[in-house]
Amino acid sequence: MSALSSSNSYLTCKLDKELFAIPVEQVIEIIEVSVITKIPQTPVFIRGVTNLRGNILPVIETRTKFAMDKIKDTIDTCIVVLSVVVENDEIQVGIVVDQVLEVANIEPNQIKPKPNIGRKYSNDYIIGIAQVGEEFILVLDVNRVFSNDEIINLAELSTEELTVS
Amino acid sequence: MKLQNDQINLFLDEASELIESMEKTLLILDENPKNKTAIHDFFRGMHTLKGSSSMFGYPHLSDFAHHFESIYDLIRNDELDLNKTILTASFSSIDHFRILLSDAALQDIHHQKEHEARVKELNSILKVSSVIEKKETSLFDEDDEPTESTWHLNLILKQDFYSKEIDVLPVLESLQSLGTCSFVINDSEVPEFNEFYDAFDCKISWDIILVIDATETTIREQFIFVDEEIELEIIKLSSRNVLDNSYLVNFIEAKKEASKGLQPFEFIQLHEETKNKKAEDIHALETEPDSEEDDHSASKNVETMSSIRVHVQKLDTLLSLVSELVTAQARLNVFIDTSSNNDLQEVAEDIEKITRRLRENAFSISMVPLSTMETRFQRLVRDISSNQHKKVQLISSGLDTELEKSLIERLTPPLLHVFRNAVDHGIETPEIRKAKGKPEVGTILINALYSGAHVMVEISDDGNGIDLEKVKQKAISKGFFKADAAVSENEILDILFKPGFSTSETITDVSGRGVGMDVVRTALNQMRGDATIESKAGEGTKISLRLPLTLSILDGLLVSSANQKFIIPLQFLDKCYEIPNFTRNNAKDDILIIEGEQIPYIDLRDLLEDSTNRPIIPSLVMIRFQQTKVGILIDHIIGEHQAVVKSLGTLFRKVQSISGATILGDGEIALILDVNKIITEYVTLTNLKKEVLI
Repeated sequence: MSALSSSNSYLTCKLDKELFAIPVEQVIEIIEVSVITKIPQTPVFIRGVTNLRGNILPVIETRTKFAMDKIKDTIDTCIVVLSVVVENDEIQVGIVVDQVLEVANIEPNQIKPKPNIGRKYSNDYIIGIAQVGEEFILVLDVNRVFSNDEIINLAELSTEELTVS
Repeated sequence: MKLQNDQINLFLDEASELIESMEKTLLILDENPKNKTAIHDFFRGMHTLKGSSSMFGYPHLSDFAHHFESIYDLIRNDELDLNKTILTASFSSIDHFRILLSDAALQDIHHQKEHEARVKELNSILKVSSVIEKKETSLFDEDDEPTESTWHLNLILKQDFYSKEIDVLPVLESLQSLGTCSFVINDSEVPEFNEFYDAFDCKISWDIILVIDATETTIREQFIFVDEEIELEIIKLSSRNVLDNSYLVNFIEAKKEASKGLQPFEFIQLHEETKNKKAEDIHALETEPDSEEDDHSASKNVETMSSIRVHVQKLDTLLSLVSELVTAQARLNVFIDTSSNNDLQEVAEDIEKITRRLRENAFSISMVPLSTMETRFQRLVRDISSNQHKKVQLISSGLDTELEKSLIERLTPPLLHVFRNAVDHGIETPEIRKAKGKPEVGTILINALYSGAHVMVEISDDGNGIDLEKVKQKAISKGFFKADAAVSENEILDILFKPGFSTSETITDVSGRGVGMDVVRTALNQMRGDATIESKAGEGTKISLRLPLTLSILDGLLVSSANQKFIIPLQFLDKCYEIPNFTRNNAKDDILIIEGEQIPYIDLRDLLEDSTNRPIIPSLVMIRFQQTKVGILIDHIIGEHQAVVKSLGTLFRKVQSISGATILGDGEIALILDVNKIITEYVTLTNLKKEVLI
């Protein structure tokens, strides 16, 4: 899966004060936040699992993952179900966002390289920044969000912590 | 002829089944080399394998089977004795057949070397036999010429053949001079007389069955002058003269009458079928005393006829669909409970019944009897015992007990390990057994039975047994026990399952059993089962393996903690208690006094990192794993629950305390606690703490 959308279509959503764009090819659906079951011994940015029509869907607390302040869910909060590749396995993962906005058309030449400074949170998961009208939209590299070392090693770390305590 | 992939797959499936059944037959022959039925079975199997493998483009396999066929042909005609050398060669060749199936062209250099060695071995057996044969029946030398083979030629005259004024007859005559020849003309493409307008337009072809002592090149050479005007296809049907089969001769005659050609495929098929008929005729004539076995194989044939082959993937899809249905049905139940509509309730009850039956049915489809593994057990026991010059008989009972296919696959390695141990270290050599007053032939017994939702597989031997005292001394020297500690027999035997206790060099002189038993137990635990051991020094050892019928459904206790639901597998459940006046003492170890016993416990709320709103009277579920008892502190017990197990997926693979999840009737997810891991983790933790204190 290439990091950029081949159809130039991106789902835009809001987290804190920032706008994010996700290639539509990787978006499967958008669901409401229902009962989420916490999984012990997992990193803080994993909110838990939820029941997606009889299948178990892991849900990522995106704000925590991007080092933003955690807030209570609002009426606009929802889960974007994504198809991502983890260790060569294509799996479905939900990410919690504050609000889903629209599907926007962004041409590749609109996307500028990411700046290295000036943002208070980790920008490892961003391919670039697109300016659409007056606004700046951060284009997400969702596969990077779920890269091996990120999730799997953190899971290991947290069990070690538990063993020591 | 281009063959479809699925046809080849079908051939591969059938061939591996055939090889397996031949292996079974060999085991019978190993016990009684004079068993005529088994010899015939083996010969027939080899013959079928030869035929079909040459058809599907496995020349090495076909060639190899041919050698074998020749040997067993001699044996079945009493021209050669089935001795140990031939049997051993046959067993290793069975393994080689499997290699040939997977690597048809012998691309792997090891396989190629192996092949050469095997062919050499077979040839040497054949040479020895042919010497005997020549001595006894020199008259038949010419007839039995093994180089004579049967060919099928398809000769099509190209359309411009007639205009070039070439005569094909001399060519055909020269063919006839080479060997026995049968011509079947195919004039089906010659137009009828009334629509006949161009004599040069008729297409005539011949199918020729040729029995000849020559190679394909020699045959092709005969056509060298007419090469450009004909299309010629040559197929080797058999490496011997098959026209001694009257069915085939009749078949050719009939085809000659019809003048519609002859398909080599039909020919081979008929050859295979009638070959068997001939063999069966012989069967009928020979009223061997082992007619009981004959009945047995006949009934087996009926069994295979009434089953169909289904791809495992389809089965998996069916099972996961049924699981989804069960979940949906549970959701319906929740809805029905709050509804007052009687009609609706009736329908719901019906659906519940049907779902339950469907589930039972679907799961029974994926069950496989343990007997599918029997040949491998027999073979292993035979190989090891003959290697070590021990005499061992394997007696099995209850092998019709069924288990989920995936479980059988996972059970096989530990089970084979137990067998290996039993022969290797359990059963003594005949001399020692004699000296001990035991029968020379040692016995290994495998017995399988259902026990509730579990299957027990017990493997016992009447060998040397385990010397408890020696194990204890060893355990003390390795630091498992204190020297003066009072330990029960069971505790000593359990030591054998501890990783790091036994190694191959040390175990043979210490216990005579138990190499790598920790591996066996780990494998069983991973299947939610367990392994235990009983033994009496000098009299034998019994290893019991216990495992669930299926991995996809689990009986558990549904509990809640901090508003989250968990499932504790019932198999580990000991007792449940209510804990009034619960106070958490953070300063010390988490220990509760229950029935006068100090019980360490784990608070599920610690795992969830949530200690708000704890109920006044929490509950404690006591779980027991082997000798360790640990309590799990929870808020409430909800009740028993049959859970359809779902995996948490790649992301949570490393999560230690949870083995899976299930979806409850209301759509909520309950996590299944991995009791094994929780206890093992607890034990290592306390050991760590103790070490720190010391």
